Amino acid sequence: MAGTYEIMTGNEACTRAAIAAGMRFFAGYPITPATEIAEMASELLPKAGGTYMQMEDELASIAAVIGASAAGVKAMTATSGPGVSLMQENLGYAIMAEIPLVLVDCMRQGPCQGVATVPAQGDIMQARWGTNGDHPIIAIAPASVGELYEETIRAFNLAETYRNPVYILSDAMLAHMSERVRIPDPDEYDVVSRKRPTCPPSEFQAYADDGTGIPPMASFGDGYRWFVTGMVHDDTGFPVTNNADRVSYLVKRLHAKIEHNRADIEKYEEYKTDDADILIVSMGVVARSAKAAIDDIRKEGVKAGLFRPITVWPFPESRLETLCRGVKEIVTCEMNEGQLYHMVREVSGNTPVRMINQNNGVILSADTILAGLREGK
Amino acid sequence: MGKQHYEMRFAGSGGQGMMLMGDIMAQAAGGLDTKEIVLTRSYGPEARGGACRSELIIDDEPINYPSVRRPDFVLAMSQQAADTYWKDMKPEGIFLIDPKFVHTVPENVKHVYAIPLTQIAEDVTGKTLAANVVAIGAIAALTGVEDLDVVKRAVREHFKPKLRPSNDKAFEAGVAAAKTLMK
Amino acid sequence: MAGVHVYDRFLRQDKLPHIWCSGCGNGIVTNALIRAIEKTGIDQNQIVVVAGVGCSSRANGYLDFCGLHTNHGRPLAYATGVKMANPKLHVIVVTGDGDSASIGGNHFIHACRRNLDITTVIYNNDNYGMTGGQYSPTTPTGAKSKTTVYGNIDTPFDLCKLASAAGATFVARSTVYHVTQLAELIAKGIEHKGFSVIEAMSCCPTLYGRLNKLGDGPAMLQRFKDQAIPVQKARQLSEEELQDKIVTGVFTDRKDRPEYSDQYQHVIARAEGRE
Repeated sequence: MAGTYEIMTGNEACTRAAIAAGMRFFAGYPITPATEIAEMASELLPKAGGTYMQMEDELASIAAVIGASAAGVKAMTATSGPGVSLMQENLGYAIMAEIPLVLVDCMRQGPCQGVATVPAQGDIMQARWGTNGDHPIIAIAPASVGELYEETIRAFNLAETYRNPVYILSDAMLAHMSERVRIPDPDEYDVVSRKRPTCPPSEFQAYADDGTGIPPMASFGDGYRWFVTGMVHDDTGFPVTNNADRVSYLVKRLHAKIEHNRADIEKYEEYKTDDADILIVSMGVVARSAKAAIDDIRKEGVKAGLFRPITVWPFPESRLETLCRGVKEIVTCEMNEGQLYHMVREVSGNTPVRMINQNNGVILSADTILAGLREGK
Repeated sequence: MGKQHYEMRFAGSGGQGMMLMGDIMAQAAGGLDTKEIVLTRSYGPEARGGACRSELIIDDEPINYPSVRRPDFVLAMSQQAADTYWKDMKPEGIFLIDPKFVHTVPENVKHVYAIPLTQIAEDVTGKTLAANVVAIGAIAALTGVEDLDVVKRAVREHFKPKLRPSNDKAFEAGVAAAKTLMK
Repeated sequence: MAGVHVYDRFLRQDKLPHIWCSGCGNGIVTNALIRAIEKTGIDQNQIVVVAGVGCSSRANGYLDFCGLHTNHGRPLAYATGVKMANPKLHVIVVTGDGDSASIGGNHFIHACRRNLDITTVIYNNDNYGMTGGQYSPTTPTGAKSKTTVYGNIDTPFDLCKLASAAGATFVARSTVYHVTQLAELIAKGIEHKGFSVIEAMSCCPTLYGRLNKLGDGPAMLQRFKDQAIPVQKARQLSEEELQDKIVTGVFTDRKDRPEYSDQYQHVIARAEGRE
């Protein structure tokens, strides 16, 4: 395959891929285990003519990212769970005002400060429901450093295409581990930028649906004098109150952007599911433990397979539902108290679901999963 | 040379340059050679003196489980590391210790190599600092997981030109010490 | 644009009439802001007005520039991103006493510290008007509000002293009685290269004024006239003599600190090996 190969950490891959995807603005606040992304952005962005800002806190970091994106520059921030909590307010703004951005969450053990240096998968539901109000979200959970590189590029493309924030759910292990990564050549991948208005400025309505469900986006200073708000707004972008029809229309359009484009956004991996009796559902690095356990238990004659959501949100429920119908048992393997388990239960029908979980900052190991699978036999 | 799936663990204390061994072996296998690697690092609470280790998996194929399960090789540079990290080793695994730090060797380990890494470093370079490079030479020779020349190149490329001669010496001394024991 | 009135050029006519109460000073501040922008002659398409939440921030919707109506307390953080992403833009923040000094207080001092070329107009009406008259970080000690019904025991911020101490390079204050001066100070702030803060003392007769028996709008304007004292004169007076006075004029006008987006160009030059 073309491209070049390099050894790098997850945080480095994420930063370099973001720049490859066109990121030219990063604002952040130091937090373990995401700090190296800020460090690398501060070194690499000026070389690319871009801007690194260290803000006073996480609220300001994502706020500056939104401001930069509204000014027409692709922008990202990176943090860990506690920082994500602080970002929820302005994340909601980006969703409501349809400002593209990428938010990297290097998940660590919680709750609260928890343990700063160790991995967890406790932010799956925070990513889904963290900001107030019912809102759409995209979240991607890569399992390897190479996949983190590719999916960071895709995260920018999705954010730009759908004018919605996109989470990358990394974790303390993926952030800091090194792998041999293939850096694709630039002609191997698409770099998507937001659709721009083409009409005369006098006719521009910043939030009018052009038939695609995703309005074209102007940039401050490009001649379109548009208005951006976090309030429910009309087609011109100005706040609307006491208009139930408009509220309903806007909220539904925001959700439809994601729902109607699941085929483009959703991504998952299947491993040995063709003949599986036991279906493991697992995401991120933990799914790699599950794969090793599947190989081992198959040697004992147990047919196990893996379904790994790469986009956790939207949750690839349609394919999973089909798979659930064909197996005898479903097992979720996760580092939390069952955030995937409950999602799987929604589509598992009559097939029993159980969970092998660990919530102690130690990566759920292949041996623990293997033992758990044997126990259930 | 090369082995299909090889798991290595480097364990000691902060300040011993433990992380460098994993970094250089990873660069040799995955950067200069074309093998797949996964390198993970864990640090103690203090930058110096706390327990720290790195773990490296080298494989000809893409690596699933990213943690070391059954190490083929363990380096212990502290008594605590020696007491802890032999337990999940493969029966034929290689256990390397520096007797300066490890006084009691676990009884159940079959292949123990005691090499005075720190002493050798001081003898050939005048500084104990290069003990980790002596270790890399010994590891490369003992494990055979990667060509000696490739590992040596990875060492050379890691250091600034003016530090290269002394690190070359440290590396070769490590190789020689290992080969003496392997006879 | 000769012959077109400044209100027709810079106000979105379809958004008027405004929602501010009768006697509110915020319209006067906005008027001063419009006249200041006119004076600078900056291209209408190159101005971005950033607001937070509160009565002050309503101005954003009436002004016919690019508008970024952000979350409560956050306009300076958003504005920082806008300006750093495109330093050619003229970024003006309209904010209130609660927005800038309470929920946005941290962003405020750090914006002052960075000295990025942003103009901040604080509409200070001494209380939270939008939510119905609760006390703010600038409500005077002893004053009544909906949440200090027994009198305020807090000590208020002097926002100009805070801004100057935190590093803002242009800091000034006026009142809605002194509208000509206010417009001049805002214009100076916009033309100033660096972070500028103009505190506009506004009046809220509906809430703060009523709760403290200060009379209607005109009575509160009269009060500003009586209370105002130019900074040069104020320097001759003691702390006690300055009780209940509003010191007006320019407090800080520094040229010695580099502007932040200019400084960042040096970072890029160093990264590229040109410096």
